[in-house]
Amino acid sequence: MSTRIDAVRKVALASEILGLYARVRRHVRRGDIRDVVASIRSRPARRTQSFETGSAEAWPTAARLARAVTRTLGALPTETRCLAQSVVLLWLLSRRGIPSTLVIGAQTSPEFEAHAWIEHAGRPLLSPGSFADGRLVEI
Amino acid sequence: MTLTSRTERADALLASRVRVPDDVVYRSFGHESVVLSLAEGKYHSVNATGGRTLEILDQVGSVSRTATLLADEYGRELSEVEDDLIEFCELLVDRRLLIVEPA
Repeated sequence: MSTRIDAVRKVALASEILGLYARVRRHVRRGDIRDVVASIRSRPARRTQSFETGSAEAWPTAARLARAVTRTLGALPTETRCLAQSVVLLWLLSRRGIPSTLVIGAQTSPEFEAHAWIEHAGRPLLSPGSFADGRLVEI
Repeated sequence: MTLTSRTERADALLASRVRVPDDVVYRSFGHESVVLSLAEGKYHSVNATGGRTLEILDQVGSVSRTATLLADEYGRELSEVEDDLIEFCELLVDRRLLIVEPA
């Protein structure tokens, strides 16, 4: 019975992620990423009680959601850019009252590349790859 | 018509106060600097001298003062630095990476 409930929850979460992804793709094309993030954060959380940053309860939930985002969006046949993935995760976390930070970084060698990821309490939830030392902005 | 070494526009820019917009962030990576316009979602790359110039412009907010500091730092003639700086500032302004404050 619990296996069935888990499966139903996973499907519901995957559906939520895909729904948010479609909305995020529209939002991030519109302009300043800080406005997009501020708009998401201004929406009320679904939980009445928010998590404390870095609390013992928040991290496992945040990490589980990050894995779900990577798994769900990674399965899409189209390229899901790191920024869209990051904003989807930020939105999921925000809905559950878990604070997070969107980090955008860059590297210039061997060629210019930029990358975005999400952190909670200073720890990455999505991989920063080789960009951890190239932080440009935290939102 | 009188030929002058600099246009009035260039002189006005040299006398201007400038600032880096709130939606622009930049960082030095040693041999080059990355400038990101959050509003436009565009990345720009400038060489180390350009990055240092942007940093000083942002700190002092005065084009002429920036020219003086750069001339000291790089041991170059002030007039030469001013010409290069005006050109660089025009490029930044065109890309919305620098704002000229109203007089």
